[in-house]
Amino acid sequence: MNKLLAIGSSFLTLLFLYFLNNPIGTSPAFGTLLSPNQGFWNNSVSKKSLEKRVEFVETPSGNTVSVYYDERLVPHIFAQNEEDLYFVQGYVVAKDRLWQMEFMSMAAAGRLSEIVGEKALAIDRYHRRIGMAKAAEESVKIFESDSYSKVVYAFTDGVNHYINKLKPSILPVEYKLLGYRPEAWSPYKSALLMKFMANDLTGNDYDVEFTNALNMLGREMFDVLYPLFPEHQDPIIPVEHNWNFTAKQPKEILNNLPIEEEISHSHPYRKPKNIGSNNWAISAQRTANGAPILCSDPHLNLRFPAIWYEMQLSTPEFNTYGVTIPGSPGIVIGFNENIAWGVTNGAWDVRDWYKVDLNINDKNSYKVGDEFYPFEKRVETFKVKNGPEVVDTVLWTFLGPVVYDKNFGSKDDEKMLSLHWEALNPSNEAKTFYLLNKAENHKDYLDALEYFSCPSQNFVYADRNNNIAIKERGNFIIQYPDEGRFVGQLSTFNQERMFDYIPSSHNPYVLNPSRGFVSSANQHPTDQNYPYYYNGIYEYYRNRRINDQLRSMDKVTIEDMMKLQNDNYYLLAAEILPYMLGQINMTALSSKAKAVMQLLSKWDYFANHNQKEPAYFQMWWDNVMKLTWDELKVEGKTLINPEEYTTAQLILTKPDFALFDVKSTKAVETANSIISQAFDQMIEEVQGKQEDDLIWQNFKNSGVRHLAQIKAFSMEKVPVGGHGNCVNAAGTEAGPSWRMIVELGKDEVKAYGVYPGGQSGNPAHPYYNQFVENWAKGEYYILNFFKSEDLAKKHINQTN
Amino acid sequence: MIINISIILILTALSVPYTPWYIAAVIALAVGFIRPGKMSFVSGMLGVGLAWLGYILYFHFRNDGIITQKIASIFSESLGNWVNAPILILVSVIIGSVAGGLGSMSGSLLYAAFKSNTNKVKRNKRTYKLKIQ
Repeated sequence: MNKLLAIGSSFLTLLFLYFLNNPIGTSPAFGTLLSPNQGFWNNSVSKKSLEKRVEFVETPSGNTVSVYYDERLVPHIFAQNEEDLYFVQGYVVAKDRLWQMEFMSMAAAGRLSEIVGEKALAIDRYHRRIGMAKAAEESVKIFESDSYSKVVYAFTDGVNHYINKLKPSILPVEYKLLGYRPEAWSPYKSALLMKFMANDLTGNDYDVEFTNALNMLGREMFDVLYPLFPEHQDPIIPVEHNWNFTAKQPKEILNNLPIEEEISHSHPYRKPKNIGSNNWAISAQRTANGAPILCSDPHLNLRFPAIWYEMQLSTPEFNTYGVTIPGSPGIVIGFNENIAWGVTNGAWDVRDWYKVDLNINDKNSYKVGDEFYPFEKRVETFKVKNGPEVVDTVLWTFLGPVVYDKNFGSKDDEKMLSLHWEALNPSNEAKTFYLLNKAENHKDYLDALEYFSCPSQNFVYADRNNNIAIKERGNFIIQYPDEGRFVGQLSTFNQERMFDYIPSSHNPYVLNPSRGFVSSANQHPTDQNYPYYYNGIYEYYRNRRINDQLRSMDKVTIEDMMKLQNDNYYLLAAEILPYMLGQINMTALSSKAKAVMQLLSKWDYFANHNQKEPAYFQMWWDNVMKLTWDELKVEGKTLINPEEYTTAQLILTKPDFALFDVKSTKAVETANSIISQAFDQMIEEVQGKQEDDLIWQNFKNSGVRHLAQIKAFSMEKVPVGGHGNCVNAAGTEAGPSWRMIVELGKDEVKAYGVYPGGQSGNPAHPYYNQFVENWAKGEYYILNFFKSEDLAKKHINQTN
Repeated sequence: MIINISIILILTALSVPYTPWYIAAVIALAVGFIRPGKMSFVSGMLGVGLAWLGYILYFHFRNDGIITQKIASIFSESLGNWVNAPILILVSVIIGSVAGGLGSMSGSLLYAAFKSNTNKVKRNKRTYKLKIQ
């Protein structure tokens, strides 16, 4: 009897321990997670620990490097040489953001399903099929052949130095919740991150949609809906600019584009629309202090932890401050004692699709001219958590991967699309930033940009000697009109053209223009006079507002720049709303509708966070877009609506245009009747909403959301105004992820910045979301740029 | 019983920073075996439970409850609004308590089974001797 009880009790104990020590399905092991031994309790941070503001790091070379953390936890690193510097950068960044950098590299590698299971399988397959992993592998070979290799290896060693010190109890909390551990870092992972950013910035194009639209509507109508150069644009390189070079001609191609068949495929996800950025620089003559001012605010998905991490890097040779992307060495947007720089997305289409002609007699090869080439095969294995291993064989042509075929996204068995993407060529964009960090003058800036091939980026520049410049830099193939804008035929692609690039010195560029400022906000880089063909998905509102404001300003101050970066003026509304209001018959309106009309009539077009007018306008305008483009909503057809700008222009100049007719109704509509209908629909929608839901910050719901979609670590309905089309481009998912203003005085560099997040990636940290409130209010922090280690020490002691 | 509780509490507290969580059950089992008794489950439960409670409250308060509240809201998303910070503390402590209680009880019962087995062997030997005479 006693034996039975003993066995029973022991068995029960073991059962209890077993169940709580092992994950059940997608839940973590609760015994481990909730215990004080290795559970999340250990991630709590004491206030006292915040007082420790200096850390001494021993580097492999035997030196001790000091890291000073200021009152916002920004680390300032003072090292004696570059190996030590980048080693410590790796260590310091890992200390605050290890989970984030690892998770991003896993996403880029198409390995998220290893962590979160089957729900990430589709997106993993897509990421592997577009070939970033292969491109990153080849990029590492470039690092290794270059003096740059010491930088990336030192950085890697620094990260691993931190990982090796980690005990299970102090793993970042996301590892504990998701039930996995960090792997060793490697140069391959840093390369993956750069490719991932390239995907974020160029991974969206409309080649397929445009091809389908062209075939459906005919050339004339297509050009009306999707003009290559819409009227009234304000390009990055001012219109008066003379292109002082003779353009190279494209090498011969063998047939005309685009293909004449319909392509349809499905996507696991679509890139959100408003990822762009603003930057500008003002010449000293136009500023109050007689020093040039440079401003940069990149727009990205707003995440916790923030995509950016502030820091200062210093050796006896150079001293730089700015934001870095955790996982890659150097400062990406920032300044040093001589120059400042920033980036916006160039949007030049460097992602082209080609239809593959499969060899019907041997499906392992495809047609190229009169021959057949065998596909290269890359077997991708997915170790899905809690599921069986999945294998996906991806075919590669000489141009790139076959992304869509019968195994993935293609509805038609024999319709295969191969991707030709500049990002898939091995490259080392990180070296550009490494060189910019040390750059002293304009020539250094141009030399640094030579390493930058993809994505196309507008690099704005200013220096202490009052030079300002902007260059849209990237490797762009010399193309014929229409080439790359539509789906082409792989079998007739001339291989000699794959690396036939526009020379870098012919990239759009201007230095010290007579108008006294340079700027970019993802608009056309040039007007039609630029001697090379290009196409892209461009911006039509922010850039014109920025340029209007900059032109009208005199004796510009830092405060003027802060105001401009936070400008909520909704130019689209200002241009189209008056016309829309004019189409509504006031007499037949309900009292609610009359109230809305009156509110909108008095609106000054500022989309502030606490007003309702932007919400009313947005709903009304969205309905106008929907009703106008009903012809393009065809079941099973991959199409895209024309730009809002084009739609607005058509309404204002061609209100009787045929496409305004709503096909499903007997009557023939014009723009005016659509506007009226859209208004009625909007009023109906408004009746179904709570009053509070119409307040812009609630309606728009700008949020900062955790990278692994953990709601408890996210913020919703942040009280910030603006819209993707406003200079303050705060949309729902994306927005200004960093706002920086730098004044390059002859004696001193003064800088201000803010981002919506906090330096620490630990959700338990009291400073986790420290900066969000100020960011939303449009306020800035003074950036502590210490000229020497002694000054850093002094400051830390004073503020502790 | 107080002595049992104290020993388990001290040993568990010392082991928390260095060992995985289930070691508490092993400690409780050892103490339950060496000092068995009827209230073994309770001793284990209180010994481990109080040790864990001490650590957990320390972690909770030094952080102003931030981590507790955030993790609790992760759970309340899937389990319901009744999950809050105090519940999370309670459940954490309960896990430790049950592990300690079961371990201690098992230790005690194992001792009892071991002892009765030895006694049975002794009794059988004596019966045999009487028979021979």
